[in-house]
Amino acid sequence: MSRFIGPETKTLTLANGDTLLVKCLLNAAEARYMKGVEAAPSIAVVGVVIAYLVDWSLVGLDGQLMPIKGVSTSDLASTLDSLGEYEFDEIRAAIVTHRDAMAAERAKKKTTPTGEPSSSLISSSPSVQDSPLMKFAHST
Amino acid sequence: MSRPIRGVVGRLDWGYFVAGAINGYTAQRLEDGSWDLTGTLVNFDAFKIRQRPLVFIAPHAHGEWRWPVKTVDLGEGSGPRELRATLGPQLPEMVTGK
Repeated sequence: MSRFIGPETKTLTLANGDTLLVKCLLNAAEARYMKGVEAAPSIAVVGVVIAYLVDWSLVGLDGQLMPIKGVSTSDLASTLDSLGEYEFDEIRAAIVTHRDAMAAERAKKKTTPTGEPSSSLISSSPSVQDSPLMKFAHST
Repeated sequence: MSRPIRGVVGRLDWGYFVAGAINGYTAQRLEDGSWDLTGTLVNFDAFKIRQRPLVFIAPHAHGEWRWPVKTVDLGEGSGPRELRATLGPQLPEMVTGK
């Protein structure tokens, strides 16, 4: 299993049929950004939406598609700020549910077939006294 | 040979990631249906630009033209550099409806 994150996406469908295209997993940079936004109380709720949202099928007040693919984070934040309160909450809830499901799936993949963790974070290393360098030093 | 497509703003995408930003490009359709792309790569992500598949994106007034990237030559050196690539047949155009 690679340690790198690819651009896999998933489509979430909202109650009225609108769809959200979201990232399956965040890479390290995206996760840092999300945590940075979440650290600011006034805008914390937006972080997870901006981090995961790739595109959607929402239309504007003119009935035309409101594309967000590739827009800057500030432009996306402005667009999200213009949603209705309920509409934003619905989108955020769908993304949070997706995020939690993906995290659970990923944690499950990391376990061995027996269900135990595959390895400890830190492996044991030989003691310094057993090092070949120490034996060479003592022999001179 | 058909007329080349010339533009200023282009990019190389890896899925939803931007792998590279292009400032100035020429795309020429070849007889076998593939395309020859030359341009200036002004910024790129060293990891993402080596992943596959990449897509060359040429934004225009009403959307984007898109091609699959078959081969990429990033040239030498650091900073902005010459880009040469071969592209597959053009993908369906993305229209933004504006």
